[in-house]
Amino acid sequence: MMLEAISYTLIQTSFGQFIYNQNLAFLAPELVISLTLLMTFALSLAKTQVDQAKSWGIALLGSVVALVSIVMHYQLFYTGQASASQSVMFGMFEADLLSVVARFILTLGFILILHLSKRYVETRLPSQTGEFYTLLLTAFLGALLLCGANDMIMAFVALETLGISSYILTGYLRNNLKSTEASLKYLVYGGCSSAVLLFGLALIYGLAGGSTSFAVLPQALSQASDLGAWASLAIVMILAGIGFKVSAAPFHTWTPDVYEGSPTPITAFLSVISKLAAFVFAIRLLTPFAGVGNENVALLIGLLAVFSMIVGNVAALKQTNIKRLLGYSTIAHAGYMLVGLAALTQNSLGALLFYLATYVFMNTGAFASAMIGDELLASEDISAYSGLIKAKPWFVFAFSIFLLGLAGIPITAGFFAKFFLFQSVVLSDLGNLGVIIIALLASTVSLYYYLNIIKVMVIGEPSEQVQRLIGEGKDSTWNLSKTLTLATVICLIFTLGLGIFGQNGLLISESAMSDHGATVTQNLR
Amino acid sequence: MMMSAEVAEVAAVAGLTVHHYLGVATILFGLGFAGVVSSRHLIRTLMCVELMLNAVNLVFVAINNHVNPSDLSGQVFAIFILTISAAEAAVGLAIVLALFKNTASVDVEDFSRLKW
Repeated sequence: MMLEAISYTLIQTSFGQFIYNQNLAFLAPELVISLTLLMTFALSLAKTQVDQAKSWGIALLGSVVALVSIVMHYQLFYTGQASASQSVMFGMFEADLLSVVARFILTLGFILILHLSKRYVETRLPSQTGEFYTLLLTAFLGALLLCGANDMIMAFVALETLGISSYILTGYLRNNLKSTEASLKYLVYGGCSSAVLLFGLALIYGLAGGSTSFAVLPQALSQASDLGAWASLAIVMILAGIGFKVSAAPFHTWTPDVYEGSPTPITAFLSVISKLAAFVFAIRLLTPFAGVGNENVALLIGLLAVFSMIVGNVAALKQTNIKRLLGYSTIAHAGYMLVGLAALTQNSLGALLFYLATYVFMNTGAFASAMIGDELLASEDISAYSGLIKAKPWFVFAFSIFLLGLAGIPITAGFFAKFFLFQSVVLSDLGNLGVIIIALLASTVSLYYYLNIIKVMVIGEPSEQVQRLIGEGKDSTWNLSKTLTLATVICLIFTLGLGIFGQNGLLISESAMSDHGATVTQNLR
Repeated sequence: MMMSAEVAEVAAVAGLTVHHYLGVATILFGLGFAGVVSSRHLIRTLMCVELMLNAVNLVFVAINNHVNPSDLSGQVFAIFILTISAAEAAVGLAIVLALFKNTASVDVEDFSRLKW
């Protein structure tokens, strides 16, 4: 009763009316994150490190509340509420099932990244803890908004919120040359790619008859029967911009450098959160092209996919730094996912979303393992991991599961994700077996470098660092960060669990795509 | 301050179509890109990125005037781009400053610690 009375009074105010009319309630996760961000910002002004350290707890609380609000929104879709799928803010933000599912995965991933960051930030950046989480939350806010952005202006602002915060976070180890250099490279490449993407969007804006909304694109594109030279230029530029954001070859050159130079939690953030948000943006922007001029768009995305798979997997073969290797593996995974995007059918996009979900957990797990390895061995070199099984068998077990998942070995979620994705592409109209054969060959090549790490850890002679670990034995004063361990265990559970319950996950992502397809028109088959 | 209709009128008298604007914007964009690729000075690189973004602004405003002058969404978009590119420039300069403190150099060639 009380609650109803309060909400009734709230609606009577003009601000309440605005919230009600514009369906702002569907933006609850974003609003919660914005509030959290302001609180951590206020804390960052505190002088003492004790106060600053509280910002981690606030950030975690905020993301958990955001997660709960997303789950509550998700339930609306299953209680048969007609108003479950809503346009928010004059159609700028589409709160459909796709955005809900994507934001759910995104928030889970972000909570894991927070767990990864805790110890790292406490030990390496004790005086800037508040700032760090403020920037991290800002980047996350951009990613959340990007998942539902249905308007060019909204998408661009969200993309840059994510981007600019990431540039700063990449260079956060201010006195570390690698970190600042990575930050500079990211900024210059990022700025250029934004300009290229915007140029493409500007031309599409003209084709769409002067509307910035993605909603009018399907109709506008079907009427522009002969897509002239400017339209072709627009498509090429948009794909180049998206290719940069998802780190697809030949626009990948920034990825390994930035991944190696960034603080490791930020590397995980970039490879998981940024990539997921960028793919959802790509899905929203490219769905209207399904059906019109489809062949050329599909061909270009297919080319990006083939390049990424080949470049990522071949270059990963000769890496010795674990973060750099994971960077190239990310490029290869972007290639597999682009295969699903190229087909542009409802099933292939659903499989792509499921792939993204499994990828979030596998890759966060791999980066968490790299962080534990860094704490144990004080090295990012793969050779330092040699013979680690004799000192830390459980760690080797967990790391191996993540690597097997990334390689796509059965039982892990990675296998089912690849299987569903390639199956849906084979069944699509595109039916391009050439791409699938290249993808299968590329994943075979990837086995070499993933299994090589496991081989080194299991049957290699113990390296200097590992011998020191064995020598210390039980007397070791080293204690593992509890949050990092928790994040690793959660990733492990999801990597195996999504494999077992893969079919259910796929169903959810496919219904998300059918909801998205229905709002875009019947373009998606 | 000229209204967009007046601008269109003047442009029509001068024989300017939207293609001329697009051509100029494309050339500006290309110059900016060439500058990013070729310049060795970091500040100049950042300026060239700004040039590319400004070329995009020109496209938005020209297309807005040509296609749908009564609706100002393209011009609003241009203002958003201006704002965000200013933020990006601020961050970029801060990063250049941090790099300069570390290495006492702003030459692009000096930053090649990360490579395969």
